[in-house]
Amino acid sequence: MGFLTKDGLKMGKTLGNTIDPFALVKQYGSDAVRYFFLKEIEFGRDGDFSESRFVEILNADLANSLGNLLNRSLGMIFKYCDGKVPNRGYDLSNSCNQMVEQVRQSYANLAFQQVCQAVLAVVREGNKLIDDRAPWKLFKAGAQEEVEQILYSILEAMRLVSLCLYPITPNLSTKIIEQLNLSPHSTWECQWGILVPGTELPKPQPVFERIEVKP
Amino acid sequence: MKSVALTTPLYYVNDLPHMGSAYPTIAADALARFYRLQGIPTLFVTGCDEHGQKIQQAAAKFNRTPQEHCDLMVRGFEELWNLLDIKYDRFVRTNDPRHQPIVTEFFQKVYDRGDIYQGQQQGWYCVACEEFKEERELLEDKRCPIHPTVTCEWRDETNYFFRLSNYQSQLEELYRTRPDFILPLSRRNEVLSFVEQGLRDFSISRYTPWGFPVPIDRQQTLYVWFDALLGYLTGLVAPEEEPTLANALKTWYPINLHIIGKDILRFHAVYWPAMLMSAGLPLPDRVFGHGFFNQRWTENG
Ligand SMILES: [Zn+2]
Repeated sequence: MGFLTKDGLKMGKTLGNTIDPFALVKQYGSDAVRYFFLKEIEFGRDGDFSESRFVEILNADLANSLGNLLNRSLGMIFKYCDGKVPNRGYDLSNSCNQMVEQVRQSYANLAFQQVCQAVLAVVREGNKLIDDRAPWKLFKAGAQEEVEQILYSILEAMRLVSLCLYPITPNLSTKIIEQLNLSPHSTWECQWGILVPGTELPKPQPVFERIEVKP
Repeated sequence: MKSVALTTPLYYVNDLPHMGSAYPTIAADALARFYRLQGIPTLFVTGCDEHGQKIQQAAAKFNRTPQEHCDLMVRGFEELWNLLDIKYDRFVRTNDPRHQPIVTEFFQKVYDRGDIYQGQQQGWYCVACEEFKEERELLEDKRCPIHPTVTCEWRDETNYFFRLSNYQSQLEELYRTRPDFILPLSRRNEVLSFVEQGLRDFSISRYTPWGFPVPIDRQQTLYVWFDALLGYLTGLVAPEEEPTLANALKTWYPINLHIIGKDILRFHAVYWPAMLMSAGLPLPDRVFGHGFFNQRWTENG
């Protein structure tokens, strides 16, 4: 097939010097490889691969944005809500409904990049929600109900994010859903409010480890 | 949608899988997982294309028989799919004895239609492409433009041909009435301009031992692409069922989506529908041609 190119030069497979998929998946794991190629390159168009970009995308999207959002909200659940799913909130429910619809259409059109973008938009909104509303201040001010609504909203959004990403990153999605004490995704359970308040949650574990590049 | 059957290319096993094979397989797996989540019965077909002279040469290079070579390479594909969490439903091998009766049956239909004839094939052949090249495309010393290290061989032989030219207007009609048959649009345009130049019949047999014999002439084997495309049909037969065309067609046919690389667009968007028309079979819903990626090792590329 010979189509990988280096510095614009057409390289046949026989000329060697191509990405070794075995090495890539063994070093970074299957979710990382699957996510990168479906997110970074619009399906149907040509794109670029570089290892530095690969690491950059995975750290930014999966470790920093997504992993961090789950981790910090679970941390607060253990601090402020006794490690249990708090009372229901609806802060991100509209955004999630939009995400789910957009994701459904995008998969049907093989627009995997758009799937990832729709998911990341909700993740960003979740991080912003925490930054803006600062649950730690609300907790100190005794606004317990508000804290719970915010944190419920984040957890439920994470559930839907993990559902939407499941076809692309099945292991990561399964780790997220386990953090929410739910069984692995088997149906398209896309309506808001599936998490049941009062459910005990397991101790927070990082779902996607940041990739450290050795200098 | 009541069910979905989708395929990756059947990868050529001259070598271990590279990223270019992993890419469409990851995409197909993501789609299959999505449809399963939606509760839609889904059949995800992948596999390997094991025939042709290139396989024979690759095997000889490593002092293996073609069969040993194929078994080894297939194991490599299976291992990579396992590492990448690819959950396929069927893995087609075109050298599987179960594939042959389907090829023979299909060949007979096309033959009965009068679309197969004997003719003289002359020209420069690139073994790496498994394709005849126009002399004007060749590089210096008759080297292949896609495989600059491969010198094309002069071939002059009596082959069997498929009357692709019979399907010129039917194919044009197909592209016109079903604008989403080939996606994305850039690929569709590529195919339209190729077909516009006029279709020529193509040879479907070779004098190489590694392949299925031509049903009406045991001296020759079927051209690797002719039997490879039919691998998609074999992939539809449940493992416990007789490998017949009827069984291939009864549950999952027609195929909803072929995901392919843009380098094999012509085979899937032109030759394949023409072969199916000739056999009197319905066509797939869609052929989606993905792109390629540039690989950069340095920070700034
Ligand atoms: Zn070639």
